Amino acid sequence: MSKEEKKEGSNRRELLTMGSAFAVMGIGGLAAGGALLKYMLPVVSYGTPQKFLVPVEDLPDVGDELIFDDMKVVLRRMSENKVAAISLVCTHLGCTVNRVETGFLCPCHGSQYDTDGLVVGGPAPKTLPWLEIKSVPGGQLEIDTGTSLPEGSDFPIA
Amino acid sequence: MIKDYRILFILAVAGFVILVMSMMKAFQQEYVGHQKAYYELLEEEYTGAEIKQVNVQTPSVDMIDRCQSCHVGASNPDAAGFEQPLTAHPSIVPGMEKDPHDFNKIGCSVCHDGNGRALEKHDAHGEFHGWIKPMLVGSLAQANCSRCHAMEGEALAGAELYAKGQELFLEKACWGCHTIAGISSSSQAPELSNAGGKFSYGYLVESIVVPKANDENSKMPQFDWVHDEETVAALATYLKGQQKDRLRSESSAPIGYIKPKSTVARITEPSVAAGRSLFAGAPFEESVAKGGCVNCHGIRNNDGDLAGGVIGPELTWSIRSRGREYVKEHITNSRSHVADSIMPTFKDYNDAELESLVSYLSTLDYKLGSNEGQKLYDTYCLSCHGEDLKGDGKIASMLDPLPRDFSKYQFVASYDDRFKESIRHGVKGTAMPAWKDIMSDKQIETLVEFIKEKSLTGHDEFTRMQVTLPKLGDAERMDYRGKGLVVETGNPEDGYEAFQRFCTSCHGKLANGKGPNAYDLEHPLPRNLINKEFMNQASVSDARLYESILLGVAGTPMPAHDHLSDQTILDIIAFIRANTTEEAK
Amino acid sequence: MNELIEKAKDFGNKLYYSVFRHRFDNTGLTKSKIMFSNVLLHIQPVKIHKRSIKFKTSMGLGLITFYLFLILCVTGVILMFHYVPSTAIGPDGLPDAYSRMLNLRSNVFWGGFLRNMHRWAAHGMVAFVALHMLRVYLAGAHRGGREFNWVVGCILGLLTVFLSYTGYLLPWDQLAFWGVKVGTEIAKLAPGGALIRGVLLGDTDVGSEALIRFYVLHVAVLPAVMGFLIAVHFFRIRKDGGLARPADTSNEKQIPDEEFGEVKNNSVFKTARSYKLVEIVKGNEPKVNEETDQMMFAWPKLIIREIIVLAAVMFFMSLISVLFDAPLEGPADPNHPTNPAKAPWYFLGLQELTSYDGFIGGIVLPGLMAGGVMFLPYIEIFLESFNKTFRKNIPGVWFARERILENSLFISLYLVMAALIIIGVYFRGANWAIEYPWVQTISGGGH
Repeated sequence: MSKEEKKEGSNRRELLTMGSAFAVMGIGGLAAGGALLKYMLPVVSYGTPQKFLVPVEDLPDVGDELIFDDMKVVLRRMSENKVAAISLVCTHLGCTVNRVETGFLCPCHGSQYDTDGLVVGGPAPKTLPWLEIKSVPGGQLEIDTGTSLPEGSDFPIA
Repeated sequence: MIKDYRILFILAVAGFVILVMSMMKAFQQEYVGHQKAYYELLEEEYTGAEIKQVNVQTPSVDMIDRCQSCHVGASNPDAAGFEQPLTAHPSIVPGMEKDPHDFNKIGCSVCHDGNGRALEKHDAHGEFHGWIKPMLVGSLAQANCSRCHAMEGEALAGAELYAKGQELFLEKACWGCHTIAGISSSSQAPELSNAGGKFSYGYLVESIVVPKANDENSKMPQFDWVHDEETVAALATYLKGQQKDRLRSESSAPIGYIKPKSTVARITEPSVAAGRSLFAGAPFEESVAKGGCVNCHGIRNNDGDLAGGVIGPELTWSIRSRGREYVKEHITNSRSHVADSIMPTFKDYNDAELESLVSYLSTLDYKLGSNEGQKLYDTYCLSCHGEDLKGDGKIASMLDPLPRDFSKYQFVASYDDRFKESIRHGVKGTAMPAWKDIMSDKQIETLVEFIKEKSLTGHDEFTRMQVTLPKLGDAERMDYRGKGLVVETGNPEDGYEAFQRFCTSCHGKLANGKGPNAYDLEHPLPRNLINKEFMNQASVSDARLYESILLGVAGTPMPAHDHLSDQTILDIIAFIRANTTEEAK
Repeated sequence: MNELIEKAKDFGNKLYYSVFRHRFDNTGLTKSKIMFSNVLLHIQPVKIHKRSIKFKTSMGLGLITFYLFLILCVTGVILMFHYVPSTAIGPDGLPDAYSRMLNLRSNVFWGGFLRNMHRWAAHGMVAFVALHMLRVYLAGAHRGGREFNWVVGCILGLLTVFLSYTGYLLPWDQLAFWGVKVGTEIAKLAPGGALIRGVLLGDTDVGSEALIRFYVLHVAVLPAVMGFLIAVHFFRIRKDGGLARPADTSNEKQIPDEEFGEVKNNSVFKTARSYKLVEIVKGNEPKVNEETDQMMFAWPKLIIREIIVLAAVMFFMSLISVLFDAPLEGPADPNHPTNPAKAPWYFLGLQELTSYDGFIGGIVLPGLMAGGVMFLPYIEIFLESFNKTFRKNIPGVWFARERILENSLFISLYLVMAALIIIGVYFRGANWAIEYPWVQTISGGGH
């Protein structure tokens, strides 16, 4: 082997070792980046639960309504033993609608609903969702804000 | 250069390996393995582990509970046969078809404590240093029923250990010293209304078994029933259940809040039977009687066998020796007669209850036919003065002042003339009762002879110098140095100064016998000089005080003070007297 | 077709040169360009003295300290995503800041590892600052125009300790609370200490105000000051001619030329060396035909060595973080002091001293020590000019014979501090009573 060739070989070896070292570090860096992504992702939720309870004795009189601001739900006593719940989340872009004489009015983009949540004007594409209500032991009603039922869905009070 | 590149390569690979290991560790948390095993046991398809978090809703914010990430089968009846941590939770309320406790809502840490956020066993069970609420294993969780349910009233189904603890708290007379709101009110010992909020279960057990374990200055007696593990566990569970911070308010609580506060029996008609129930802390007419004297005080049956606690004095003869009024007063305010008594004050007894107790105590009787010294001593004196007359009987450590130590022969040789009187009439302001109604004069004489013989045998003779109280204005009087001195009436103010100079190191600044040096002294401890009952009895004359100060007290740490002039001693006596007489200050 | 390829090549070239501006060949010009056209590398000179690269010269201690600082910055920022400096108590009885620690340990992926890394790197940085100072002093590198940089370094050291100390409180566990409590009690002993304490705590005691203040200091104020001073520190080293070295290094054994790669000479002077590329710096400028023999291109040898140190630091920090969990005790409880209540280890020497005498041990001695060490080079100069003992200044030589007195004094200072810290850490038990670590004491259970 000539001196020139030897030098060539050692140069190649150097490049190879260095290259693989940096490659390993690069992969490590990518892995760490991936791990950091997972570090940022939510695993558990601390948010407000979907369901909440209302004691039967707190129910409004027949025809009256009860608004739960933090849950964005209006609870309506349909008859002596029937209740219904309507979501107050606008089907357009998720603003909270206001209860007005004629029904519901969205302050963000002017969607209008009638008292049963049917769209009567504005950009809203859908009727306001009606929610499922379950009677639970202990004289309480459980309202599930995660559900979306057609208008007019009411439930008996146990 | 190749060398450098190689080092770099090796380090890069090593670093990469460690990095991957750290991620593996993050991926392979304990719950992952448990969930895998769970699905395997159920023979169902495993679709990947997840953290099962319950946000327990409380009136304020949510509690985070991730226990079921490992205890994944807790509410699955099919998992009943599995090993921990996968097994199903046993039913909480016996006899109920569907258990009202929904673990998906209340999680585990509400009842079992521990660290709800953690996902590793050691961490989650709260087994690390300084964790406030280590896990309550198994039935100990009954302590936490009170976080949601009212526990003052009738026993809650499933909380048997707690209910037993509550009974024990009354039966063992814990209530006599400790306050738990709604049950007792006493300022003798730390309040326990929030014991569960302040202390861990382990701490409570330790403090019940060895009261001095956590607080060296604890005055709590060591009870003999503490060796029974179950009893201690029940009591500690009950105490752990005393928590001020509750998760439910009274209106939103599940069953159990709307119960009457207390079902403790109150006695309205005095009777011996009621007194017996009170004394024993036993149920009276089907509800717990608030008593339990027997936990501290012993009584004798007709054969002379002693039964009951060895913390307070034996009560077999108490009515005859002390009289009914004294005993009643002692129960409602123990310190009215014995200044340093550790007995709690039972203020909330009504007259009928006191009368019942006294009536019961007066039925107790045991007569000793013998005139033999040893037998007399064993019956009447042993429990306080001890086997070898050393004043270290079983209950001695709970008495203040301590019972006299007769093994100090110098003391016996110097003061034996006082013995008969002390036995006959008792020593006021101490636990020594009057025995004149129990022992005949002859028996007392036999007893004194017995003590003298036992104490003095084998020792040289001991003669104490005789001194007499100087007469005021007596020009003839010579003090022990042979100098004539005219003394005047003692001046309490000068006495106060002298006392602060010469006496406080043992007797304390307040003259209560608790000076800084008193802690290092052994048996006869410095006398409490503001014990009015003691200081005002006939036998504690000025002459006796003078003699004790000048010459010291034989057989005790009280040294002679012959460097004090007669006038100074008289001043000190005046000061002590001024402290203990009504017209003081 | 060929035209198209040519155009593509041309575009590629333009793209490449817009990013790199140089090739990667072995000519001296390229090696220089690499160094001064890269923002990260241009902190370093194009050519450095061969001596600087040898392990025994600096042991890489300053560099390790700097890397630890970088690790701390990165992990610290990442941890901030999951941290809230709040003492508000949740229904489970836990302060918010503390429950975030529990979250990091449990549900946050990799959170435990990152916290461990941050914690151990912080301890490591304090230790390496101390070692770096020891190296600098023993090699006499604080003299010869570098006196002020020593002062800057000392300030950086104090900042490091303060950064570590402010971070110590953030987990809000018993260890943190009482450690910081003890530390601020020591501060109270100083004249004006009550003022400092008030400013730090914002309250009469360690509480929620203190937490937010420590947090802001820890994540914003101190790192910013530190970053600036680090820049000053590095800049001055550069302007002082790199790592300190003796005036004449021609007799020292150096790294052979082939060790740092081949250099093709593309200079117009075919036989001469490229003096023109040697920078003009104050002090030890290279001397023609004498010093230039000792100079070498920084690329790639120095850069690779620096990356090696980085890789080693990363490896050891990761290893320690995988093996040992950062301590976390029960949540801070102002009513139940831990017994003993110990400050962080780097303050335990101080705590040990204060246990003998509050004022002398807490203020006079540490004040003298910190001030004395910081102005040590000036004290040396003063004493030398006062005594007219002008010794030969030989920076960059370990344990120079002429400096035996200074070096022994400095080493003994370190030994005393180390001894005090060891006593504080291992030999002090409950109630600050002497306790032997090999004697097991049974704790009385506790709260």
